Amino acid sequence: MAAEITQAAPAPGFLPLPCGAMRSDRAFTVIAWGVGLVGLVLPLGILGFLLIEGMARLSWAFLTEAPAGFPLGSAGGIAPAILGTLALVAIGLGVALPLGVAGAIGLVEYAPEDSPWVRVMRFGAECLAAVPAIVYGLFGYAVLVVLFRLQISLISGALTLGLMMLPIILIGAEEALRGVERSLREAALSLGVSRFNVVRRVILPKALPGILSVTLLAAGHAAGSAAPVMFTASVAFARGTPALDAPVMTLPSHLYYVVSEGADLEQAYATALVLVVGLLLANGCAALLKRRLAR
Amino acid sequence: MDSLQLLRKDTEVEIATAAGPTAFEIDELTAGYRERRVLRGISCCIPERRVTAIMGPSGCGKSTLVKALNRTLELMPGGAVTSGHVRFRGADLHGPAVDPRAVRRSLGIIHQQPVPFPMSILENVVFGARFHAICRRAEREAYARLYLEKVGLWTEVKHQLHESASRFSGGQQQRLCLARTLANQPQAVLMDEPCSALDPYATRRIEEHIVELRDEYPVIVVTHNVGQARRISDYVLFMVDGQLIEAGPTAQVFEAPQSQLARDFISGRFG
Repeated sequence: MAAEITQAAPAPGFLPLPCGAMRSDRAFTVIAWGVGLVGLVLPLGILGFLLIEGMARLSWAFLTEAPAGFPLGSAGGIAPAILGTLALVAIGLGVALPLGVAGAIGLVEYAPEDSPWVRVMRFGAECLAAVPAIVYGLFGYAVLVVLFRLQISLISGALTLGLMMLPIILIGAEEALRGVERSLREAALSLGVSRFNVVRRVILPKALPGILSVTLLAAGHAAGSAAPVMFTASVAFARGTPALDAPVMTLPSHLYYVVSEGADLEQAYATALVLVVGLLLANGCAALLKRRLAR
Repeated sequence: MDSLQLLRKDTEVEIATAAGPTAFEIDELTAGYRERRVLRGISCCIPERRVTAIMGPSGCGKSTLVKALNRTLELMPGGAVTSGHVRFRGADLHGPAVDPRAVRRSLGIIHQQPVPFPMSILENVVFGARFHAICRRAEREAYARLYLEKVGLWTEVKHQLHESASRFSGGQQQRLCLARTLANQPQAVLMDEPCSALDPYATRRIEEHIVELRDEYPVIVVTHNVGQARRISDYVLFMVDGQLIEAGPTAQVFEAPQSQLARDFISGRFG
């Protein structure tokens, strides 16, 4: 027998809302705000901590001078490390970005849809992106430094970093390209133009903001990793402008040396601050560029 | 050819239409997507310099048919013509030496959803024309003006030619797409439900352009809107379930439909 359904007696004003549902909605709102605040406080906290600990040492001289003192790094600046990191990431990107974007274009625009090869390559790229940085370091050492006799040098380190960035850029660019509406491709191709023309003038401009984001993510990851350059490119001290066949200093490895040698910790905090602020600046520039591109 | 025969072999629906040369001859065309067969042996002729409406209920294969007419069906996942022929002015679209891109350029198509490309209005109009070397870089502004005037957009956009088209209304975007297709100097214009995303006012403007286009091109318009087919077309193909049920001059099909299906569809009893 069906339960009798009673209709609420007409009351003045609006009808009440269910109590339980309102309570859980309030609880969910509080949790969402709480978790959101944690997400906001953590990065700001790290930045604030670095600012407090490292700001005192930060000066024009710190940015433009070579490290000095004993143990090395307890005085002086970090100019060679900044230059080394910039050179490593720039050359690495020079290799990884064209390869990654070209690979993604191949997978999305040219490879037959849902072919098993595409799935295998995608899976491979995902596995590569998950490989720990130290493994890239070992691979770079064994293959580039030893087998190809490139020595511990800027080029060995940059190629290792490029290899590390490649799968990240490939996967991200693939996502960005797949995100471009199918109707856009169809409309462009139905004008009888070549696929290359469509990719270059219609698809890539649409996917560019996404590609830019993931490139920056990969570059930031590479700039902050000590492990891949430890055996392939970095030394405790170098001076002058970085050369392809010579080892370089890098910010993360300098940080590692300074801390492990028990040199001045404030120098280490200042170095970390430079690294983090550099990444923030790069992200800010990318956001501006993306907004310009979107217009 | 004096009297054009719109002929359907398997069900013996045979309609003689008014005099006029044939643009498209479709012969036993079957097509679909992977295992799904959508068109089941379509045979008919489509006349020159007239508006031919393809109408029918949703999912009957109208869009598939119009896409098969300029080989853009192959751009869809798994889309392919499986048998039969389409000839445009006597040339087989699927002939061995035929480049599908040349077919797509010559037989322009307007899609349901207007999609401006991520570039300036000017570049949008000359996108195909530049590729096909119809218009030189130095004269693209004059060239774009010609086609923007043709679709009635020139006065609205002449001061923003170098801006993006993304802030356009749907109707303006569709007219831009029409200008882009016409700038490609096609020999026929196909339209796949060009007004289904537009408001009534924008629809009327597009319909006016369709009727104007008839003087220069054979025009094929897919529509599920019976009223629209009646307003703009000279000939009608009526499809149900991948088959051509009825074909003939618009007045004849609307006033004296020969099949029960067509009668029901036109009167709004289904579709």
